[in-house]
Amino acid sequence: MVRRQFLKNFGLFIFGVFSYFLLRPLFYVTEPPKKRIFISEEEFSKLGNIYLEDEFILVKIGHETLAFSRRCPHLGCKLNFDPESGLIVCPCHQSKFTISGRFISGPAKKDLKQLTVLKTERGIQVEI
Amino acid sequence: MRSEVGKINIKVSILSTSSFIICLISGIPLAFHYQSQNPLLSVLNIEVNIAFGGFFRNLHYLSAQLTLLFMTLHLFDSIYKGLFKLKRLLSWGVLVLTYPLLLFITFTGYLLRADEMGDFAGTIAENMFLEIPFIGAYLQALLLAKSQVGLTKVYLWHLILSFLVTLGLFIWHIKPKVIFRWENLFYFLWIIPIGVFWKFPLIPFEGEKARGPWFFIGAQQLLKFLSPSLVFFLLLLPVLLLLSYAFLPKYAKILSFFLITYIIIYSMFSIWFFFD
Ligand code: FES
Repeated sequence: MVRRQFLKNFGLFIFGVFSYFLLRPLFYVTEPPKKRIFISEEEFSKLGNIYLEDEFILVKIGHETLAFSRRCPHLGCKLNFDPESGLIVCPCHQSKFTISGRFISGPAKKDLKQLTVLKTERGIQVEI
Repeated sequence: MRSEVGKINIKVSILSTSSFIICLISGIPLAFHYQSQNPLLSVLNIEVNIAFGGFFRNLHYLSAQLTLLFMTLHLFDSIYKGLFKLKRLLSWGVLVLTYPLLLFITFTGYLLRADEMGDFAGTIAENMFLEIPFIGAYLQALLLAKSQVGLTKVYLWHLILSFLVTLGLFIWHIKPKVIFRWENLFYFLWIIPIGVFWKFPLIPFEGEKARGPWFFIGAQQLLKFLSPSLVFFLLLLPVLLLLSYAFLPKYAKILSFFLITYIIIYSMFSIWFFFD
């Protein structure tokens, strides 16, 4: 009886160790590296006041250039620009933002996430 | 005990199995051509280039919805007839948990389309996981990890869980002898012509209002008002209710009352979405 109990416990122990080694890699993901996107001076001057890239929004206000992540600060949907109201809106739960990134209404409650814009003579670089 | 319980509706049972099987089979040709590294293009390739690819995609989509629908009916049927009283705690629990598992499989399938709608749904789900205290980040890394590795994990889970659910159901729940009979052939065949005519196109861009999968529309509307982790809990609530049928069979009436109220409120939110 003692031996049986021991075997059972031992079996459970082995099982536990094994599941740990199995589960460990399942939880692990590699982070992708940061992306840098370059826009040349020439291209940049052609863009309008607001420009939607796949992952960021570029806004020109006077001489200033702002870049925002295109992910909504609420739950990460891709933001769009609504030319009628002149606001940045989220299609998922209708959060609204001004073009300078200020939160106006909706469930997001936060301003847009600003990205760093690096200006050089040859163009600008946005880091995501 | 047996005298208090009714007989399960065999038609609904067979229908949910047959649509499930059609779904599994129609998934095979898709899986051969789907590339999770290159999702949208490979779906388009299936639609345009592969022989009968579009048809199989439609059929897969349709039969998945039908499976969910009939599975729900089957579940309600068994509750209504009091069949949970015949099950042991464990087996009822496992059966109930199959349901959110199937929902998850359907949801991953929805993400695999990789059109704009699928992308939104994925990102929202991911961020909702992250809002859960303590285990959220782990769950996100385990189940979706869309922002890190794209659709790779989503696709793997879609396949692995389908396989496991099929295995489990056919070992412990479905009786092949009842299902696979010539008399039942038309339970399988009727889905196919619908798959020919009813198209489920990819949806690229919805302007200012994007809509999630139909079973999550209510949640989408709720998210406009409530915090994500609360909505997550509310989505789990029916599972808890269903599980408690086995623990508290005496209070089945009260549980049913709560369940029905939940469904009514949830559907009201879903309808509200379209008028908002
Ligand atoms: S994700 Fe933008 S408002 Fe919810």
